Amino acid sequence: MNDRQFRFFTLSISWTWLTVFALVPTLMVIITSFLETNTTQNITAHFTLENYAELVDVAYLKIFLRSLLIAGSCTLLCLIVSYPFAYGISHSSLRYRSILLLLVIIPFWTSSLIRTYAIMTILKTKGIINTILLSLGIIHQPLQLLYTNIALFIGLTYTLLPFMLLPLYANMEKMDLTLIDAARDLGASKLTVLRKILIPITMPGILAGSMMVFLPAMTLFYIPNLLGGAKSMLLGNLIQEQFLSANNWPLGAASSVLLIIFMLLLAHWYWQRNPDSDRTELL
Amino acid sequence: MKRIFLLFSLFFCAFALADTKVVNVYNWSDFLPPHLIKQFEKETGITVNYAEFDNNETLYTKIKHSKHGDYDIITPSSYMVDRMRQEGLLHPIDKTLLTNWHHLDSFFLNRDYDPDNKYSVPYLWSSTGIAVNTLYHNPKEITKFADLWQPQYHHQLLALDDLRDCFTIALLKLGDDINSVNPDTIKEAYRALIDLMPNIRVFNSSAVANMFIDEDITVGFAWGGDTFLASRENPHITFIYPQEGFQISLDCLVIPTNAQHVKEAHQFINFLLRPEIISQIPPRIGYATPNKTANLSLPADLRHNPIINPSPQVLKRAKFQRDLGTANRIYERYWERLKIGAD
Repeated sequence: MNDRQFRFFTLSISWTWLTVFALVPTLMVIITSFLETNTTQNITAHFTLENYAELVDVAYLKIFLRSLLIAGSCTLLCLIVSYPFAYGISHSSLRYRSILLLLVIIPFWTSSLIRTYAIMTILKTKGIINTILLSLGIIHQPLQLLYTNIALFIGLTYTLLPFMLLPLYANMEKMDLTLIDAARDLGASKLTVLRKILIPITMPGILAGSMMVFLPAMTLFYIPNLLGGAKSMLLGNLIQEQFLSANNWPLGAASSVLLIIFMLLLAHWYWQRNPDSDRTELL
Repeated sequence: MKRIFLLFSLFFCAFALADTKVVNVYNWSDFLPPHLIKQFEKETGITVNYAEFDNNETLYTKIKHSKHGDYDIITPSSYMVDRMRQEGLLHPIDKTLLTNWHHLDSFFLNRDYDPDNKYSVPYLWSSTGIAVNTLYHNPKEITKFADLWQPQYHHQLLALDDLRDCFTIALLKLGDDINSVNPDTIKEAYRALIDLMPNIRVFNSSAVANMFIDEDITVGFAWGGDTFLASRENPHITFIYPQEGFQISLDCLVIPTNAQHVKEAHQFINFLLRPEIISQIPPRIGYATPNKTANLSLPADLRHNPIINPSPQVLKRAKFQRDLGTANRIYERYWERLKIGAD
């Protein structure tokens, strides 16, 4: 096999992969979103814009806004927790750094669904937190933590934290520490250093991390279902509900398409802001 | 070696051809302990092919699209019997083949969903009532579904993640027919459910027993079967039959029109009508049986258990589900709006 053949061979593998598992499914979703729904079969081959018209509704707008709010707060929470954490890791001695990173990554080896069930056993009425607090005499009535918005935030933040942490870490590791010393020498306060040096330099990391947390936070449907009591519906739950219980595939597909468009707009905005960033960074 | 193998396979083929007595059963999950299936096979020499489903809509789609008669016995709930009967999907039951028919409680027979039980044989039932943990709530304060609307239950209730169950409690609270197809009535029930939303903490129907056992949920509307199982693990849990009435979900044995083994299917149904057979199921899954004789033969603690064997006065308040026809679509619309938290 000569060099050209080898190139052709490897490229064709990735092209086939992308076509079969990314392009075709996405096209199927887009096509379904323009078809009519039917009670006995799931879809009928008949073109309509009805599904998109149906989504222009106060109720769906509310879900979208609620998803934005919850995903936004979750992103902010992740950022606040990860920022000092990432800074700490990237400036710890080399020996500890790999151990710390490993500790961040190890939970990834377990399915996030299983980790969500684990969170349930921590938050339950007879769970770990309540048992400890009760036995220490700090509370006298078990706290109702499970099936609340607090549980939802804990679940989302815990699951998505590494997606914020790792881009931030990658960004901070490359940073030149002498810049901070220079700023301090020139009389900048700690706050000014953070505002004028640290944040601007790490902005690409902050943005990349935020995108990686924000989008999944809107669509991880099993976390609102299991921890939020299936009451606080997010965009992901809406799509899941349309496909699995309401049996309205076209409407579910239309919601997915809107989500994809929203995601592309966000990515576009990011690239505009960072024209020199590598476009593959987000993908 | 090859020849021996061929001989063996021929032998087994002949064996399989000689034994053509088969019955294909499609039942709810957990509804029939395997040892009873074995007992039936042993007694009759009929091989049982057994498969399970977990909701009526799945069952309906399968039956509607099965052209070759894949199943001989299925177990839809009463409203689905109603729909299947009207669509001509069911084979009439020949009661002369069912020598154990007389064991059935007449209360469960000849109901609107299937007059004269032309197509269906009552199998097992459960009701939707209120489950309460007495450590947290005074059960005397909860006597009807309307009590669940009180502000003291803010963010506490379990609501079954099931369209019919949710609308039924709202319709009963309003004093309406649980099978109403009137759009105005349905809308009123939807409004009532919106008022109930602040009190609802969880929508769930698959892990109900565990939520009550672990006290993650202490009050809510629940199925009798789940409450029975939960009360065995956590003695503080009781079940309340609300005063307004309550919905019974009655699962029936029926034979699809295109069944291939009608005679064997009748034998199977007759087997399940035998008191000493059917009485083994309630203690395992908490569902009650419409078999009068079987109920009398239950051990004393179960015979007096109000979930497994409610008194006739209580039972009088029971309502049976019927098919809603085209009104299904209206209910579904409102249900969707309720779940996405519209209005």
